[in-house]
Amino acid sequence: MFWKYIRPETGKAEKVEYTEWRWEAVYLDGTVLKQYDDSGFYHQVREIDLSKLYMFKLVHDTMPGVQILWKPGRKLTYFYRNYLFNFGTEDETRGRIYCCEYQDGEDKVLITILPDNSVMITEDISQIKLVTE
Amino acid sequence: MPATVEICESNGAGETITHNITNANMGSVDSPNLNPVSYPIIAGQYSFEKYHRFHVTNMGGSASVRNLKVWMTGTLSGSDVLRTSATATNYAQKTYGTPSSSASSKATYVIGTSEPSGANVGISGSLSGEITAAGYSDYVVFQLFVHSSTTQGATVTLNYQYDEIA
Repeated sequence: MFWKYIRPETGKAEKVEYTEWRWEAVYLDGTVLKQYDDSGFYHQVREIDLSKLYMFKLVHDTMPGVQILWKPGRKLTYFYRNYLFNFGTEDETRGRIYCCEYQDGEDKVLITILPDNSVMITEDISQIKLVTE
Repeated sequence: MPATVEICESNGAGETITHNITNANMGSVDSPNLNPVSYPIIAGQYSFEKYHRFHVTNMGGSASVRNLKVWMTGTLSGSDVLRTSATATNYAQKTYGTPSSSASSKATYVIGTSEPSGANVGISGSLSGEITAAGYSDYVVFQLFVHSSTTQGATVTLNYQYDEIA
């Protein structure tokens, strides 16, 4: 199933596949901006109006999600860390870590969802080591 | 998948690009997807250089791809050495050249055996570069040196990693 993203830089539409974990931005007025909205359109995290944000959520169809009550002034980064381990071998593994980082002043908190759907919170993503040895 | 990213290899004088390669085996011929048994490297000699790139074929709605990393897992035989152009310090973009089995002037760093803390493969000449539309990273060059004392090779593997701003 695909959602549609209209890239502002080009005006062209792109097909976007559904991901296992998605974000939802709940605003102070109760409205919700979803990464994959109910109208079939995809949204990038830069579209979130952080000045009106009440809660940032990470949601999954069957897993308990993560809810972050928002604080004014925070910066938000949402990204995927994609890996391809043991390339070209029988043990080749491809996967993704979902990463949500918010920053209060100089302090950063990184909330990650690992391949087994567990949640790990850290200040430094380099501390997360997926086994390649 | 959001962004679609493959690993490509370039070979030959005219640069033939093979998309979505299936292995990174080093050998005594300049070809992608090698069976190393068919193209062994004589002890005391170098493999042909390999030129790889991350290739974003579709952004899939994401804003950018960045923070590219490559490293090795495993232990080589004896005094064998796998060198690369990938480095997190003093990075310099490498241009494509016909792969050679002489000592590479581009793959000059011993490849790391653990995930580097920062990017070690550049985009448009910079480790902090980003891919924002379908396109390629910089080349990352590899070359294996098989020491004269080596009698049997070992198997090591490459790991690739990249971040994608959603």
